[in-house]
Amino acid sequence: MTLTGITPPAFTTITQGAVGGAGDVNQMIQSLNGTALYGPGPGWVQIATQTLGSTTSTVWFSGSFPVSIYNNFAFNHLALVYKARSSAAATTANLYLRPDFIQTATYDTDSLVGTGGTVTSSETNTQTSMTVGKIAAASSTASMYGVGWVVMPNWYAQNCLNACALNGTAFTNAGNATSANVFGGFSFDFSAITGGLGNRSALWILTDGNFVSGSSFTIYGSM
Amino acid sequence: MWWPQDGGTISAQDINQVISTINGSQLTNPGPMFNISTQVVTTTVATVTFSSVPAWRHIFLTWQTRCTNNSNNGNLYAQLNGNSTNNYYSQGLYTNAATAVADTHLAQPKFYLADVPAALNQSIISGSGWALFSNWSSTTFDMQFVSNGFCPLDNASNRSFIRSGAYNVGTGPYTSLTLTTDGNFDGTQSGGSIFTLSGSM
Repeated sequence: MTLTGITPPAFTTITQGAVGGAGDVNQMIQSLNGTALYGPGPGWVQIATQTLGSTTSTVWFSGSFPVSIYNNFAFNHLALVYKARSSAAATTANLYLRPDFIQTATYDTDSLVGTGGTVTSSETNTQTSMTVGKIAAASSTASMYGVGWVVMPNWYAQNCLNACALNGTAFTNAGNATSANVFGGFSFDFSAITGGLGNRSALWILTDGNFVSGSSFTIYGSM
Repeated sequence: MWWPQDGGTISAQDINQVISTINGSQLTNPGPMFNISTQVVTTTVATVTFSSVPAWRHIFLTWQTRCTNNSNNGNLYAQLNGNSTNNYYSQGLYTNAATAVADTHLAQPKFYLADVPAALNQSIISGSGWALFSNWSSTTFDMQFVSNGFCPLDNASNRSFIRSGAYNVGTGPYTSLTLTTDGNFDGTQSGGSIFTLSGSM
């Protein structure tokens, strides 16, 4: 089998079962480490995933990223993919992020929410968490969720942290009660940044009420 | 994903894993999204160019940056293969507090990929986002993109936006992506500006 679309690596074709030379192996390892296979790192890879087995107030990713699991490479960019539902007594609930669990009133959020024939633009500033989406909640039809993804470019650097998100929420199965949403927000905890905090290492995900069992969250990273 | 330790001892199991990875489906069926290049800007530069972009199925750009234009905000632009003819069409939708704003840029010499903060914001402010060039390697359809991002602004409402666009002068192959802005990219803020190009086959 010939690798297509990858240039380099310098090695050409490896026949299954054949014994490769040391140069082949080194080249392959370099490729998989990201040295030869274009640019830094392997691209977007899955870091961790959680599917909740019970009602949970806060989903927490920490410890194993961004630096530990890939030869101490840091991930420049993070992405969160989720499918979640809230127990809050409402039709929909918000999805929130707290990088490094910073909960000072240092988050702004701006959103476009399209429901039916209406688009609503809104801005909420100086909040204690960053709102990045909407999910179905307790007053919505059972089994309805919200799905979406959130990209956090330059997560690792000492810089202001932005998040941009596209998501959709279904809250009845009647076919006319869904929403399509664009969310964006940022953390302006600049004192922490200028003080050299940076190097964020944990991400908390919250909602109004709790996340119900079955909600799932996956973190991807790019170097 | 299996990951050999840098500088560590390579075992027979490691080699078998490498060979099975190469021979197997992980890289070719269809494989993950690889990084093509990351450029970190720590000064002010007029352009950021990704050259020798492979003819992969999809290309994904991620950025965090700001520009030196003497205003609240500017644009992040993109050109394909350095082509500056007026054949780029872009459509945007963004927040302005309680107002949703749609804007369009027809027959322009570049794509309008994103809003970015400009010089009137404090220096720590920068904007972020991503753009997807779907079916980058197609020789059948015109090139199109969709982008999404966030542009924080000190002196106006922040902008959460989505954009899309098309380049209607026929098909590729496309081998380079040149990014410009209003003024220059300003990488002098803490952490600099960063641009990462990824792709999948």
